[in-house]
Amino acid sequence: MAVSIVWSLTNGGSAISGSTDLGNLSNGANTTAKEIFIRHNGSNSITSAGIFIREFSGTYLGARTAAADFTEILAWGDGTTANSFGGLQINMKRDQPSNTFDTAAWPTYSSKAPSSGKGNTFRTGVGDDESNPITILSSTGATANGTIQAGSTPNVSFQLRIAVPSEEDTLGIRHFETVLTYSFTS
Amino acid sequence: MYIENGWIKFPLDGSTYLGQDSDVAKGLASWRNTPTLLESALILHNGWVVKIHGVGEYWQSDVYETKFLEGKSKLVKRRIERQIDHDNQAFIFKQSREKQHEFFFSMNPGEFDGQYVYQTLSQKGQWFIAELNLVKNKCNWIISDSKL
Repeated sequence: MAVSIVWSLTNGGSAISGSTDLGNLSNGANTTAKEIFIRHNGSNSITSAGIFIREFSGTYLGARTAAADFTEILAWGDGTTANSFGGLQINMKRDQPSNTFDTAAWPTYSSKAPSSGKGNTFRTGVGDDESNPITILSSTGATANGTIQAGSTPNVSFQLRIAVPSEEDTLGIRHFETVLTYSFTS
Repeated sequence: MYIENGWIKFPLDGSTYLGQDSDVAKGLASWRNTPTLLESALILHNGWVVKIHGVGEYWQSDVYETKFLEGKSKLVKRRIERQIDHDNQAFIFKQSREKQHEFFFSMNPGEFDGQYVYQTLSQKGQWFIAELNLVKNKCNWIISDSKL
């Protein structure tokens, strides 16, 4: 059975339609963190749920190629200096009772997966392929690491942002694809 | 008995349970709600057949992908899984013919023609998982500490 997934910007909210604009950035800046909620219509929990990124497969509107953009977003995450580090980052550390995301869980050059992996950076070998997704942790509201419960609410949620390296010197639109992978047993 | 896509399980009492994808989608068939102690079980998809033989505990799972902003999931892997219940050595044989792959558990390394593909050793409780990768169009197998 193919389970349907709903990506939304609020708990139990309408599915996101169209693109999500993260804004324009200068070098060395981060986009505003965007909270993403996920739920599904399966009769049972989905398991082994994780997020990975890959080369964009849609109509490419960037300045180079989808392959080059994917290579670059991973290179940003791989950055070996403070000025070259950046990329797509995830924060899964929702604190209680404040019900807010811990800003200390965002990755930095010196700590690419802080708070025991509740913050993480998509980079080579980490979330760059279906074989190594970043597991959706229980701190997102999942019943266990990688296990998203059935039902319309509560949803799991995490924050995503993009950090542009300080030394980036090429303007333009970048494309890549974010994918949820999961297992399901009827 | 014919189904194109789904699973078939064969319990010890001689009965048969079918999990055709279209029935599963309608909630008319369920792996979880039918026996899991089986003589054998198989998965099917677009001409592929992958079967495991041998009395034991079985499981089945599908792996899906969903792109951001899209709700529709794509089936990328279909698995049939059997728990290893041997205290010590067991030999797992594979017989293949085009899109049909069958795995047999045996205590005898010479029971089947050809070489066994894996020899268990103190792995009781782990799982042997035959996986049909629909993207790469191939069948492979793995050993896992838990069912997937």
